[in-house]
Amino acid sequence: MIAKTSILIILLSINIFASEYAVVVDKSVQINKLTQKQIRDIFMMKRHFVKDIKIVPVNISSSAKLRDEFEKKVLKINRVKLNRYWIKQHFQGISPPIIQSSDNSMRLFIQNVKGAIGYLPISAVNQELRILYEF
Amino acid sequence: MSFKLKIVSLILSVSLMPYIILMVYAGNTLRKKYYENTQHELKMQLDLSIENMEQYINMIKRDMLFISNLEIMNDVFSKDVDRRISILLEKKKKELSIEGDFFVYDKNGVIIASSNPKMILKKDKIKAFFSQDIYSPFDKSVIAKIVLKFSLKNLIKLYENTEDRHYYIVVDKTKELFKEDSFENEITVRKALDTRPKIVVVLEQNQEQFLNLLKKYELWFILTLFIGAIIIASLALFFINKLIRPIIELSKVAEDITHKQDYSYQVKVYSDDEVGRLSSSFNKMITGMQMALIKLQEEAKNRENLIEEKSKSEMLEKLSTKLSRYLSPQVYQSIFSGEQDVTLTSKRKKLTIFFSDIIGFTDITDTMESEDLSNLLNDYLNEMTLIALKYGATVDKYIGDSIMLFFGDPYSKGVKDDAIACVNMALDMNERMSFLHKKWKNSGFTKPFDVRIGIHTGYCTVGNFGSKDRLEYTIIGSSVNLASRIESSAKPQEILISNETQLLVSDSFECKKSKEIMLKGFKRPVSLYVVEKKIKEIEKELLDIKKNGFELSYNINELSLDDKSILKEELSSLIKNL
Repeated sequence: MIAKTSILIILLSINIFASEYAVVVDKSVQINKLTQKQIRDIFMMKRHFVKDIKIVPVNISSSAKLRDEFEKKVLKINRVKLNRYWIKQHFQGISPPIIQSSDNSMRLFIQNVKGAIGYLPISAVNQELRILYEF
Repeated sequence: MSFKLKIVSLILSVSLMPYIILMVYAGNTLRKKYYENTQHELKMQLDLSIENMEQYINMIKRDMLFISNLEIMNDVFSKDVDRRISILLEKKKKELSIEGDFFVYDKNGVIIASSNPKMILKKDKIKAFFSQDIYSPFDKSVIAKIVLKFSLKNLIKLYENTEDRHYYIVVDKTKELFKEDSFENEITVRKALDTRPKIVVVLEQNQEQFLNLLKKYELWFILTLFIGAIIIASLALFFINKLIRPIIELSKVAEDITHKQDYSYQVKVYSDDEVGRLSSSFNKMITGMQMALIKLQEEAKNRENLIEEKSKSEMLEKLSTKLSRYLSPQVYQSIFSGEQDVTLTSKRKKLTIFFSDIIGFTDITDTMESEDLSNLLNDYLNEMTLIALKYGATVDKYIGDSIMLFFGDPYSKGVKDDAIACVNMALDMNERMSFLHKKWKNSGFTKPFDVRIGIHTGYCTVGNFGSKDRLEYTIIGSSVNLASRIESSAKPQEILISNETQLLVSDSFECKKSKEIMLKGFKRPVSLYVVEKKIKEIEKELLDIKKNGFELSYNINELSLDDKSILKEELSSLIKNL
């Protein structure tokens, strides 16, 4: 138990210290930069197009730390409020963004789906992706 | 085949036939019914099974559709690196507990997720039972395909085979899958899946048990049939024996009667029905026949006797007819009527004896040819005999030319009347002789002869005389001799009678006393009389006339003078009227 907790603490401290996340798209997507506001709209499914490009937002699974960070820093909304929002949206036929469970699958999804936009730790961003926003 | 056997077999067939028909029909119906019922039941079960299979298939289909629509399918885009889809598919496989695997192909035909981890990232082309496209959540384009490799065993697995019922599947009409050992006798139903016509589900039911049951029943049926036949046959035999016993007896008796010709047999009458009546009628007939036969036999016997008697009597008659010529008709009659037995008996009786002969016959025989003489003699004797018979004389014998007659035996009118008849006869003979004289003269006999007659009445011994072998009916005694002597004393054409006779006939004849003569053999002279003529009767003293419508009788001796005068008047008036 002690060992597990210590590993967790170490990992957390690493994250805190190396903390830099980025909202990314595939390189083929002709978008260079997005504001926090734009990103928020996209992930709240209020905006679907950027420069005539259909955007597909992808969330990481809700258990991931990255998701918490993204909601806190980019969407700036807490989980309870967000859930309430999505319940409301659900009745209007709007679903929350697709969820990918790992960085790897997030990256693959972004690369494979045209107009997909997601977020990853900067360390996980490779050459095929373009960073639109860092947080 | 005997009558009894015929009836027994008839009754057996008539009584057993419906039973057999019923049993066979029942057996067939049972079999058919069982078959139909079982088939129907199987069909129902199969229908239900098919429905369940379809539902199962649909469920799987729905599940796959559901899976395909899951958000998690977006992991297709990330090549399921998180193995979320694979895990889901594994779970699903477990949940459905199917034999087979789920596969998710990407656009390039590469397996990116599967319930079977070994197959991931392979490019195997799998023959899929189900396949469902996965659409992109953004542009509804097909991004992948979820496929189920499905063993048909899953369908069969839903239904466990029982001891008597097996499921199996036939694919493409011939390929039999999951088929266990077949039954020897089975009822089979089959049905294709609605959604997959190539898959035919077969349900078969073992019939063995039922057939065994049926066999058991068949055994029972045969046993009961056998027992029934025995019971019916024995009952039939019993009753038939009872029924046809009279008929058998009847035929036996009839046979016996035919063989033995014994009509004393009688048949027992057992009942009051037609057969009983037949028996009693038969008895009556036999009795009748017996009676008739006895009668017939008697009649035949009688007839035989009659014929015998007749032939005997005919013979006797012929004999007697022949004999009659040699006998006096009276003697003949009295003998043949049995009044007198032909024995050596004799009796004393007072008779009137008559003798006649031809005078000078010895001379005549010398002068005539013997043929003429015999003709003449026969003529004479014949004529005389006729007269004698007319007066009832008994012709005793012909002694050459002389005739001996007597009156008083065997028939007698009384001594007096016999004597009168004798004298009358003698007169008649004399009269006839004069007629014969003329006849003979006309015939050319120049010397006709005369006769003389002597009559005497006295006691004689009359009867059969002679030896045991030869008898003669005649009279003997002194009276006979006397009559003969009297005759020899008579003159031609004279009737000479003795005093005894004259005393008897004096009322009727006028007689003239002749001389007293001493006759040879007689010590005292004998008084003789010549019969002259018949004293005429007082004519018409009595009258008795009877005609239709007329009757008259009178006796003049009874009439008084007054009566006579009255009668005269009456008759004269009667004559006038006539």
